[in-house]
Amino acid sequence: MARRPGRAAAAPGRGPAAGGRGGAPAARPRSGPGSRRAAGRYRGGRRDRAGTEGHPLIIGIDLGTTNSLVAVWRDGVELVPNALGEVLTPSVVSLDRTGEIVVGAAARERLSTHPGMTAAAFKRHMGSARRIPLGERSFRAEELSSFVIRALRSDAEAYLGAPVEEAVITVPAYFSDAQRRATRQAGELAGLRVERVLNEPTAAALAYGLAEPAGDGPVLVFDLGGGTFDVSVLEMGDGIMEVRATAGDNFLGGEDFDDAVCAWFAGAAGIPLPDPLEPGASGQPLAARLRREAEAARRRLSGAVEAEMALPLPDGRTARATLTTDAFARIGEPLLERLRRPIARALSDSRIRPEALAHVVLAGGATRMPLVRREAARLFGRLPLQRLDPDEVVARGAAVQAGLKMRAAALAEVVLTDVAPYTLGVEVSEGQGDLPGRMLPVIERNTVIPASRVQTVSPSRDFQRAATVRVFQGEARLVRDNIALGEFDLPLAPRRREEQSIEVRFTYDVNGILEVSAKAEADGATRRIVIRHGPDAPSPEEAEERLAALAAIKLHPREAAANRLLLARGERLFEEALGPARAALGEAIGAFEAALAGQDPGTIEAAAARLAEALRRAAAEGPA
Amino acid sequence: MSADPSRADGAGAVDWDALGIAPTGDAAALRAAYRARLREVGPDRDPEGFQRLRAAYEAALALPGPAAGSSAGSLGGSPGGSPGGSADAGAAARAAVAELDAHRAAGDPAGAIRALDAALDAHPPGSAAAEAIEDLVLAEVALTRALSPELFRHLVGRFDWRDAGGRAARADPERHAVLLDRLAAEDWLEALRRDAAAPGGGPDAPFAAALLAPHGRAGAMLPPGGPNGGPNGGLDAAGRARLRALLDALRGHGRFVLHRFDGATLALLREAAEGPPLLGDTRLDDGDAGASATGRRRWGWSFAVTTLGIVSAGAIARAFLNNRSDTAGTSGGAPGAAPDARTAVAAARARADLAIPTLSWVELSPAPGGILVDFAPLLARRAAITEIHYGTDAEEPGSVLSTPAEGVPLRFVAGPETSLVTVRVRFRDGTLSAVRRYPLRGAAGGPAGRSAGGSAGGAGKPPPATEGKAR
Repeated sequence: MARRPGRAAAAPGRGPAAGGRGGAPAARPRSGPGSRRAAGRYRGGRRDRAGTEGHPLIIGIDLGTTNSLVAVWRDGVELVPNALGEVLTPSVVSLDRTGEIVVGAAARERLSTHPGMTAAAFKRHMGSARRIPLGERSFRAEELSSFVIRALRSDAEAYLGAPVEEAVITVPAYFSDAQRRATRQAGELAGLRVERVLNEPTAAALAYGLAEPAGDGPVLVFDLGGGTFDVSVLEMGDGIMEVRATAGDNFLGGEDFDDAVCAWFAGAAGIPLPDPLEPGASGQPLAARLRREAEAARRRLSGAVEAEMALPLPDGRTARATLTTDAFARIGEPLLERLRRPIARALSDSRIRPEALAHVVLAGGATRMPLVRREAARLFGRLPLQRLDPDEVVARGAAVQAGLKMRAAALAEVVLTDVAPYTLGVEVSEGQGDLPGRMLPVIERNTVIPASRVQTVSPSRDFQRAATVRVFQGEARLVRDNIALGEFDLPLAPRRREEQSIEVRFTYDVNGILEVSAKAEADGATRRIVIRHGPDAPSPEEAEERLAALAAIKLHPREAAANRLLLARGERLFEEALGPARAALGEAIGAFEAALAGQDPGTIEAAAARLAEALRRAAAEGPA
Repeated sequence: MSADPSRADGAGAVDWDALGIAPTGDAAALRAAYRARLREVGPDRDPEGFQRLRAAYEAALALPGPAAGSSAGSLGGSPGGSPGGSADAGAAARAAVAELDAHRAAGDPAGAIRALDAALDAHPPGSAAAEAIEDLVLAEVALTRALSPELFRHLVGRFDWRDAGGRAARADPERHAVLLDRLAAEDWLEALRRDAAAPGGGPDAPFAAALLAPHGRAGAMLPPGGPNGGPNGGLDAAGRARLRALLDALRGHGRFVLHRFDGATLALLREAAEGPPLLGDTRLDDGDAGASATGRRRWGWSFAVTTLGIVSAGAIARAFLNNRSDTAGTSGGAPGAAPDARTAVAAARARADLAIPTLSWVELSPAPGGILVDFAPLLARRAAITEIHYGTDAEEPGSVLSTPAEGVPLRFVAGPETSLVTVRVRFRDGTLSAVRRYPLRGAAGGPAGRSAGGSAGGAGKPPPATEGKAR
């Protein structure tokens, strides 16, 4: 669930952000120095702009489905504002007609006006080979993510006044091996070293652990983001945080509630559910418009009992329906039911009873929904903690991890251990022949990582010349119900199977990335093969090409961000507006574009103010 | 939970130095030592050292000792809530499960589902009460024969039973394994239905439809050529192969779903796939009757034997599953009703007999038309086996029969051109035996010796895996 990014009133009038490089940020950041700080216990050490002990600063990035954030550790957690002064940057990427990439709030506006050139929620495709079209080009999910990371990186460099070369990036705990690799790739494509990938609920626990040093005992982190749901159970105390178990659902998040509202609206208003590819009123795809309405209505319900929704249709009518909290509760029920299973699994695996939990911590924007908060309270029989902003808590944790990596003196007492979220194993067969492959676990889920484990297997027949080692992740008994991670062939000296033993070793590093090696004794010598890449990963040559191709694409400059947002919002509202307000808006937009072309700061500022005013009027008279 | 198998040298090989503590069995002390050491060798600071520390900690916890065996250091977590809690949880669970079962027995799966959901939703996930309900349902309801697929699937979903590493699998691995088998059977049946109903119809569609057809309708569903007649003698080789594959798959899931198929249909399809069966009439020693046994008569006999085989397979399945007096199943033969202990002893003895290399599995004797192959020795040890596989002139026994009921003989006459009979059995625990070969050339008595071909003992797992992790 996204908090609406950008306040139209604040952005314009500043012209190019006065921050630039090497100076203090123009606007007061919403968080960071001067706002909430880490609890007293962990302060200490002098404030060092360039990082502790001369280390260049490592940034922590929360790469979310709906919003992304970047934060640093400098004697405490500081959230980095973007060029618009916001700490939340929508995870939306758009291709401009000039061929430049737009990231963030402006891109989000373009989701309505140029949907074919804009992509959102691509986190759901990380780890797959799927290509998402932006105009005539197409990109993989990690490439789109790398644009977002590039934007965050330049925000951080502007804020810190120093170059940034390394980042910690968070991922849902339930992300697979391939998804984690893709996330790391995304950072590398943005020119950053990514030595650490951190699980989101663990990050949330880190943030809370520092903010609330008192209160030992087991903690359950309930992290419902835009697209994923994670549950982690941790033991916390004295600065030591140990993850005991983790579980989740990679396809459950705030966006699913929006989908449900869209479907409900179609039924309630008596219209067919809009197809994302069909043209709508004023040239906007109806589906995108409906989605905005649904999301807005959902957010309004946080503070009101009902929310009216209206959708102008191609034939001139307007479909309407009123969403009440009761109706929303009914709509959300099947989604809420899906919350139970990961929670049960995490608690059961950790052998901790729900009554024994010291705290329940909420993280992720979707936990703002009263519906979700109520459900969490009901499930655990207590009020969950939400003292830190749920949108920010994961990024804060990432910053703490970055601080740990930098060996920040203030964090010397903090230790974090995490676990493998999935069981990892190899395929073995029963008996001979075509019996479906069984999963032989090598590393069981919730094993503390880093971990290295070995299993010994034999070939299924005598005198085989090679054995195929197939690696899987998952909890099902048969490999066909699990996820394939890769496979390789190990050459063998032909022997009877009883005399042939193959040692398979799994090494799972602290980032949750797997290496598999196998060796077989063959006449005294051993052979070893290692899997490093997932099945959908590009080859090194391909990776080089993509890197070069991506580096050639330019991002819009930070300094122009505010103006860009103004224009994008103007375009969107122009399409949605009717009557005299529309005409006035069109004029203001034209004047602004002309002023930008003229490049005179004074004219630009004045035109921007006019446009902002016209936007306010148009939004107020909107088709509600 | 145990140390890295590659490092396991047996008990006592705990790296106490890594832990920085004198050898002890006190879990709390171990935990404190581990946590103290963590500060120096955390995973981010020293991955290698951390792994050594962790291995030492886990090994130390696994040692037998006064407080060992507790879950790896749960600080604040205590199993179970309030002291009187578990008794209450038990009673409430009983009541809930009884209500669920009442609906089930009354043939009201929707009511059962509602009752279960209401009972579970009243408790937090992962609580003692929820787990008590799960344990009871697994023990008393989940493997009942008269359980509608709808209710079964709901239980599997609600309790997350597909998870091979989850609570149910840990708590009761044997039952859980049977449950997963049952689930596989249900999944297979559903896939079969989808195949049969698919509008475009894949290559398996007509055979799937035939398999599912009600009594008497199967023949009409098969592709043209017909099961018994037709210019080419029936299905082509590819069709037969497909049909055989389906029947084999059904056999694999037989104990759970066989009763939902029509016996006559199965016999018909088996003949269509494998040709007329070789099983003969007991009155074969009557020259006329044997030599001139018409196809029709043989078909009739084989139908009866096959049906009995099917019915006894059902009886054997019932021995595995809980038997309920209110079930709708038909009661066939006696096997499976024997008390567990006696059956177990008989089975073990029978199995031991079958392992004796010099004990022949078939009796061969001359007969009009060739050599009579009688499986009496196997039938005498039916307590140990559920299936008999046999083949003629093939290394792999291709025909499979469930062990017939008491009193039903199993024999056939092998014609003069047949030179080899191969036999294999499936034991009660699901494993397959080695294949035994009995050459028939000039055989007037015992077998010509056994072969060592095939997998030894049909081990269920990849053999000699040194398993450091006992699941």
